[in-house]
Amino acid sequence: ETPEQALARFVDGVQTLQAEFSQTQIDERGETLNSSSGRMALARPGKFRWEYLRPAPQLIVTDGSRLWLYDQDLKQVSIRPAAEALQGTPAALLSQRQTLTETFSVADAGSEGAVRKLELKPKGKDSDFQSVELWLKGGTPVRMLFRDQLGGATDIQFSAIRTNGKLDATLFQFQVPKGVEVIDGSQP
Amino acid sequence: CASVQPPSTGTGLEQVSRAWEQRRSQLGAQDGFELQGRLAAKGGGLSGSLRWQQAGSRFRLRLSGPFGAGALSLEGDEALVAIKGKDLDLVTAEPEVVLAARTGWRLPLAALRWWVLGLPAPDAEAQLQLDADGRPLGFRQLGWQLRFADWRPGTPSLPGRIEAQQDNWQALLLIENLSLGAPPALSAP
Repeated sequence: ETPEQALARFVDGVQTLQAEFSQTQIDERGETLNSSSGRMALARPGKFRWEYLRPAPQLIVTDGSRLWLYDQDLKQVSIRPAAEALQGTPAALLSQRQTLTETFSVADAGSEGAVRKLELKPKGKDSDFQSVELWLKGGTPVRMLFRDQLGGATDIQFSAIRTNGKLDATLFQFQVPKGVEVIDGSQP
Repeated sequence: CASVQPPSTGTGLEQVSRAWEQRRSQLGAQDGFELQGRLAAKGGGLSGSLRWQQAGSRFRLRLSGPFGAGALSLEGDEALVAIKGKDLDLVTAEPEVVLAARTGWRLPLAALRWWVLGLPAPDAEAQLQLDADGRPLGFRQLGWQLRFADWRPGTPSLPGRIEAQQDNWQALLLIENLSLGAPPALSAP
């Protein structure tokens, strides 16, 4: 199975996904910057939810057209057009359908047992990431690693993974709570 | 925590300023710190996770958005600072000016190293409001208004939430953890 076929099996085979995640960020010297955890969900095409629970509640939600970035401590939500905000982020990678291989070149990065590792490099010059590594097990993501422009990395391990379940649409919408400041950059 | 009124018996103010002096000498004696938290510009839509290491006047600051997007690092001392990021790799004697121009972040870097500990910068005038435990509610310095909240237990206790406002720009720093003492990774120049 070529890297493109492995990726296609994921893009076509996994229509919805729910999982818990734990995330560690390390800097370009390998020093741990922070760690966090939470839960995520996606539904193709374009719907995505990434909810940090620890150390602090933060939420990234998109319904495919608008993306909300909500920070509970800051009592602030910024809204941006999904297409612009999704460039090369897990949201784009996980929830887009056909545009994936248009925005990333895919290369084989080996495999460990049943887990297949792919390396995706953004084709455009202005991506926020140098590369994205995606570990797939039977077409389902179990780990992702984002290499940022300074050479640091955001390493995400998934657990309690459920694919192709029925997901409620409200999971991918965001109601602005009372008293929260809105920075609306979604109108062009 | 009431702001400090001149107490009728005179002991209140004396006790408070003694607590403040003790806090100031304890913190002033520190040779550095390592801080982890989140920084955001209210109203600006800018926000990111922050790691700040300080050893004497040398510092290393790293700021990045979700999944490391927009990662930015600043390293140096009061004289020269190297700034690195996407399409950004330069050394400058005016990091605050470059940072604001290239990223939109307005950060009083020179003074912030004291403000994150709840201390005014040493060689500039500041009007202080203290609470009953000798901790600053806030102060005005170098054209910035500082407000402190979410004090964390410890001796001395340190602020968990710091707002710094200049005109209509308001930065908010939420400190997840802060350990005092110069981080070894930074001490060797």
